[in-house]
Amino acid sequence: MHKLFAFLFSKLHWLVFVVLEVVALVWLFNERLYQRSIGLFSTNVVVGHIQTLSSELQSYMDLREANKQLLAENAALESKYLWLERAYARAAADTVRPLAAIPDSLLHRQSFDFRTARVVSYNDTNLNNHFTIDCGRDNGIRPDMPVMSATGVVGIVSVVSERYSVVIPLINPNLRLSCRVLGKGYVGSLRRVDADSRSTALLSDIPRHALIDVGDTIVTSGYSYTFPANLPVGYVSGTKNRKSGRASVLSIDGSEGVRVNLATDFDRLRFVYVMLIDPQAEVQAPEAGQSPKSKP
Amino acid sequence: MNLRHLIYICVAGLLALLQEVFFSAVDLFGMARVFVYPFLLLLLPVALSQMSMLAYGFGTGILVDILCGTPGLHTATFTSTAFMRRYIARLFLDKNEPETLPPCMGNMGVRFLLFPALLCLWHVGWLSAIDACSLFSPLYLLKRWLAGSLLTYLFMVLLYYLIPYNKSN
Repeated sequence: MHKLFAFLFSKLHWLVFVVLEVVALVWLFNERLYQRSIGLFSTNVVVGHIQTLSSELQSYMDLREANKQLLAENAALESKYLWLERAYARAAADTVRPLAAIPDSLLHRQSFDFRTARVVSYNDTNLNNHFTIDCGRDNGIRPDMPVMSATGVVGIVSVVSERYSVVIPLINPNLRLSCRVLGKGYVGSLRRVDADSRSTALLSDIPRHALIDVGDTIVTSGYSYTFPANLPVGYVSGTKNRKSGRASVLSIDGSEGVRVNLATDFDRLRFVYVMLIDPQAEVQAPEAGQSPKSKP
Repeated sequence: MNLRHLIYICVAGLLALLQEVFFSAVDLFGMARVFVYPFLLLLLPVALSQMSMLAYGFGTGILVDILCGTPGLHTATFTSTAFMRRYIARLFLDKNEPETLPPCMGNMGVRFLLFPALLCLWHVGWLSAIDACSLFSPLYLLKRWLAGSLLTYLFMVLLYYLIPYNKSN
């Protein structure tokens, strides 16, 4: 420090020289109009350049902060967009009335209440597939309630929590659904047999003499505590038998039946409609000698 | 303050007065101006401290500016010339020459004639540059610089030979 002071003191005349020059020049540029105008011009040019540089540097330095703000703003907008998109999708889904029943003159018409729910997760491991919807007990969902899509049967509510429910879909191989060929009355059992396809199932246990055509509509039979009758399930597909001209009967895993194209597209399932009915209660209530509505 | 400094101050005042009374109006061919007050730098001892040189330069410059009505111009110029004098003088002085004398033939020899030339070039160059402030006409500025330097140099050398003062050991 001592050396530093000694050095500075030894160069003091330079400092004094600069100060005196500055004083003289300030005097000159303040008093003489020409020099003042030149000085102002030069100063403006210099200061302008410096300010431009400073501004650009400041802008560059502020980029990190600006970037943070933009990211936060982007996240907020993204969140808002997602919320709006969901709200719009739900609103659009709410306008859809599921094909809840195929008109059949032999059966009386039923009207159902639906709860629209969004599919929040889908588990397709080891074919024990199930999916979760964002409606639960708080929304009036109960176990065993039928679940529909806009085009057909989806599955059955299995487990219910406060806000979420687990649905066992038709394409779960463990689920068997009693179905009927619309207009012909043949009843069979529908289940998924092809592990590679999520759009087809096999309608088996149908009488051997049944005359089923390709394109026939398959609906729920009603022989179930869960599903009311006449809910659309799918359409008979496959090839025509050359001799009879009817749908070919297949034999898969020891079961014989016709291939059915499911009405619900499980690959694009985003919203489902839970039928707010409790068929088991309706069926069991008379057996217990009480009103179904008295059951919680 | 000793007598010698008092004399220097008086000489500075006299030179400033001369500048204002006789030489401020001189402008040969619109180019060559003459400045007599830098002659003071030939009178002051080489060994004079830089702070003293700055004081003389600044004070004389202010005096000239006040008298000539050129605020700051001569102050800025002469301060810088006075400050540079020592560095210029050392170019012409031998290492073992005593610095108690002012720059003169006695301690510089014939090279002395170059010393005021460099001083004039420095002084007039700075003065012309500051006066013009921008190189709006570099050729004209160069002419003014060289002509002014030459005229001032001639006057300084003339005064050196005309005025009797201690020029040798």
